[in-house]
Amino acid sequence: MDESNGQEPIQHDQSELQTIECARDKRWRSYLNRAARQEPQALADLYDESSRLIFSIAIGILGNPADAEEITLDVYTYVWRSAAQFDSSRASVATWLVMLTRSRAIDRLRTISSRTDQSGMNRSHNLHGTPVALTSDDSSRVFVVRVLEQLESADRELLEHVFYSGLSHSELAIKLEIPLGTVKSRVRAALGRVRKLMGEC
Amino acid sequence: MSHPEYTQEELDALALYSLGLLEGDEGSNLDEHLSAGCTDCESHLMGFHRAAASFASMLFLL
Repeated sequence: MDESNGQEPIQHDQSELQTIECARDKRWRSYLNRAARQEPQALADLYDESSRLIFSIAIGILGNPADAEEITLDVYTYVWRSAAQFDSSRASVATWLVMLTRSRAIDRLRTISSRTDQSGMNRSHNLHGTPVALTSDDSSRVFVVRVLEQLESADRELLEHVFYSGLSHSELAIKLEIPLGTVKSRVRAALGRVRKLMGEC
Repeated sequence: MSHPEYTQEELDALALYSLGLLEGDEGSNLDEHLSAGCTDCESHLMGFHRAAASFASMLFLL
């Protein structure tokens, strides 16, 4: 199956970004190792380099800076306590942090929704809005733009809903007006395209 | 425990599961299957996690 959308691969930029990401992961793993030995400066270094990303995920899901800040603090508290449990054979540090943040932010979103008796279908979410400054270098950003251009807009929209909305599988099907089975197959295909486009360390 | 091959439906379910979106019996069954130690499914899950995290990171970089 061609999961790259039949377009030309972008090997040059991809390898540059992979080099940057692999170096970053090596650095972040070192911070985690030191944090596991209870070195506060290691957590501070990890926070300095990763907190803008973490905050952007949290606010993308919650849409509220105060809640997003609380989730961000919660994530780093967890990291401090659980650094020794991180298994680098299972995921990069960035993947671990992003998925941890998403999970906690969605739990918070569901709690807020149940308290306010809102239907999940009416939850709004801020997909891109973030008050944080961007710190990525131009080459990374150019690569990202090109990768996202290779995803069909429908795939990108679907992944944004899947990642940020906190809606369940069946709620997504209703919201997007597509059958349950189609949600599944499209999510898998879209993630497969991202995997293929991004490569791995 | 491992899988010689996956059907599209199994991969679809793993993709949703990786994002915590698989509901009902299907989700419970996959929970049990993973608890039994299926390394192939774990490997697929990690791949889907990486993709989802990469996608979110890309949006952040824009």
